[in-house]
Amino acid sequence: MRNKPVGEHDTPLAGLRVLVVEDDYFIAEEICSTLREHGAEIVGPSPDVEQGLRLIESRPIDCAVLDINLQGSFAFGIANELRQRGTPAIFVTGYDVSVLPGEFKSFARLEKPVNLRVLLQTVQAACAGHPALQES
Amino acid sequence: MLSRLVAELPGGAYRIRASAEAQPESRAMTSADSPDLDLSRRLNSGLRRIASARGIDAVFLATATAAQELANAAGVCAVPADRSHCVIATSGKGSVSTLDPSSSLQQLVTGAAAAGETIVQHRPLMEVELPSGQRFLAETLLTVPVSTDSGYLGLAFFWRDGLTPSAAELTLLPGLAWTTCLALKSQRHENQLQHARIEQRSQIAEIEHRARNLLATIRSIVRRSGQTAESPDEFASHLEARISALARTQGALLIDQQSGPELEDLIRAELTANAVRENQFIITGPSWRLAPRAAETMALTLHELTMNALKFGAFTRPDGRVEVSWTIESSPAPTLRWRWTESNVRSAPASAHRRGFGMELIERVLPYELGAVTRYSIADGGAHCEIDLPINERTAVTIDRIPL
Repeated sequence: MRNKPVGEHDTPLAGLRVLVVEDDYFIAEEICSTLREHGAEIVGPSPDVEQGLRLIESRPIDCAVLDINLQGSFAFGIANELRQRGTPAIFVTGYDVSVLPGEFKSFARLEKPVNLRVLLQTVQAACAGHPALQES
Repeated sequence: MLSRLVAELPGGAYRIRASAEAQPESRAMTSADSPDLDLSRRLNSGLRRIASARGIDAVFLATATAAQELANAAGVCAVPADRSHCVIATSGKGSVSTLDPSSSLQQLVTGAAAAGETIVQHRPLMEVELPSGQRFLAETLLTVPVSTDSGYLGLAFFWRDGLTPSAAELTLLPGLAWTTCLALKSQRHENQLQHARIEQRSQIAEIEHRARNLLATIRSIVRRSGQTAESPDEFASHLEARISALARTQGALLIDQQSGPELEDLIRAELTANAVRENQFIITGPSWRLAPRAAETMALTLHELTMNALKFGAFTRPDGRVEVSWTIESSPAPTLRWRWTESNVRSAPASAHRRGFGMELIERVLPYELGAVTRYSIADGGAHCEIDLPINERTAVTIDRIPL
């Protein structure tokens, strides 16, 4: 069964637990409220690498939205942790991260400023095989 | 053969006379060419090799190879101007290695280079041990001092296994060394340029990052102003004032690119921009410079506090006062304790409790982005705001992390 596109279903992300790591409060808030409105449960948001890693350790996560440049420190440690667990992650980057390390080539990537509609579609696509989405 | 060319110095060292005086001995012709022509061919091929090498190691290898082709030298050794180590390049295996500064070879070369002229030393019993463990004894050493803008004090060619240079070859080797010196100088410049290019790229990336963040902040301000304004006029005036506050901070950040803006300057700029009279506020606190992002958020917060005081608080009355003060505390953790205290405000305004952009900055943005602990209250005298900012690389300018 294919996932319904955004707009046809009120809560296309129902049942998904999404970690958000973003150092800008307003952007984090924007991403979280959009995902929440479409049914996702938010883990975080976290403004830095340390708290992001603690959340991965302590909470079940189905998908993550990661800003790569967190006030000068890079979130590749978090991405690596997620990759090892097989959890899909979406990178949100600016021009400052022009080249991603090879192991993250398969990760979806969005340019800042994030188009929220595209973000929703990307989260949905990244979690396409997830049981929570299959049920809905 | 050498004795005709060089004057003997104490300790078995010789000094080469000016090459113009040197008369190479005649020797048996080994080819159809004259030995002079053969020598000049080998010299030119060596010079071309050195001049076309790319990279410091390649220059040393080309020099070692050229010296072997020209004069049977086993290799070349170079001592950098800071004498921190000694570079040795051998032509046979084509390797470049680094010897520690205490090696006897380095001491010999440094001593000879200090003399300021080209010096030949015979059988100085130099044992050379390469990092690979290979050892050999060199019997002849020709040291050529070079100009230190190449980064090196001197270059020394060495011979082993009974091979020695002819007098003619000896007179040509300093020229080889000077070409090497020019090639090293140009490689150094190339490296510096490369470094500057990388540095510039990272600065551009940082500017780009900040521009995107600034646009994100403006987008949020527009959205928040739209949500809280009660009329299009109010929306426009709030928006304009907030963007002006942000622009003032950007201006201050540009002026203090290396050090970040002074907290006092940010406060004074905000208050005077809103026509608050000098006798209505007191600013007290030690010199403190904020990191760019922290400066932006603090300036926006300050703007909201100022606007609130102008509309409902201390600045609505001639005798109303605002004291802005801060202290730096080192225990239990390094913290900047910042206070905004209004006084002589008779009635606490109910509308100030409305959850606006300022409250969101104080209660949510500052704790989230900067880890601040904040409190806001309205007492009899007026509004009181406390912001305890942990001092770290996000909030303060340190020597280790100088923002643009």
